[in-house]
Amino acid sequence: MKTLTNELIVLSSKMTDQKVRLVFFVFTLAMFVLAAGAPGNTGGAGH
Amino acid sequence: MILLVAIVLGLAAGLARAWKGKRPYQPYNLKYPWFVVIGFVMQFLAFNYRPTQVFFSRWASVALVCSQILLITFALVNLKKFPFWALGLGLLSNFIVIILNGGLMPIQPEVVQKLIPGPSNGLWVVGERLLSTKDIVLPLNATRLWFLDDRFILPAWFNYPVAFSIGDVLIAIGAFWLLWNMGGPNKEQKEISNGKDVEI
Repeated sequence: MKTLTNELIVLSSKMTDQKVRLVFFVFTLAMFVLAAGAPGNTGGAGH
Repeated sequence: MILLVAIVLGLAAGLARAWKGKRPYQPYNLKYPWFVVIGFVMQFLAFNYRPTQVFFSRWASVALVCSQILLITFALVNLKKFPFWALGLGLLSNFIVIILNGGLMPIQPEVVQKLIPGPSNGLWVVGERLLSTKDIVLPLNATRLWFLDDRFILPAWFNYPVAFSIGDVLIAIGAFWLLWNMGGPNKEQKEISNGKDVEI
């Protein structure tokens, strides 16, 4: 657990403000696209 | 899921464009992103999360329409970014056909037959919602603005049964365009780089 925390701290220190903004942007766009689109996906039902 | 492919491709193309032009890849500042989060969560609870799907089953159309109103508002306040015109137009196209057909996206029985071959065996019924999707099965003569419904399917060799509308295509184009633009040398990107644009 301690190692994982250390890894996360190292990773977050390497993330620049610009990268964080990009991640949030892509995440928001993905949510928008998934909610705005209405493709009929049956999830493989009947196959 | 197919719409996420546009995001992956757009991101890859935009990053490659920025790298080729030796420019930083600068994300746009979006106004009111919380509208998207709320709209997405509403749909997730109504259509994707099993424990709440049952509760929302009678209210699925209400959840879909309300969330799309939030998304349209988000698209409108961000229209200054040109690709949002494609995103907004696609969203509006889906919204109009959904509203005119009782709150769910219409899909024709013939298209459902292609997605789920063989006898329906009660799996789907004309006039009712298709499984737990955003679609309602309606014949052509009972569908208002039928040309905006979920009528396109991927070629069989994709082995991925999904139907999509012209609105979905516009949304995919808009998402790709937006991510591609962020790798380009346009005026707005320069303003962001110079720190003039600070809104979010």
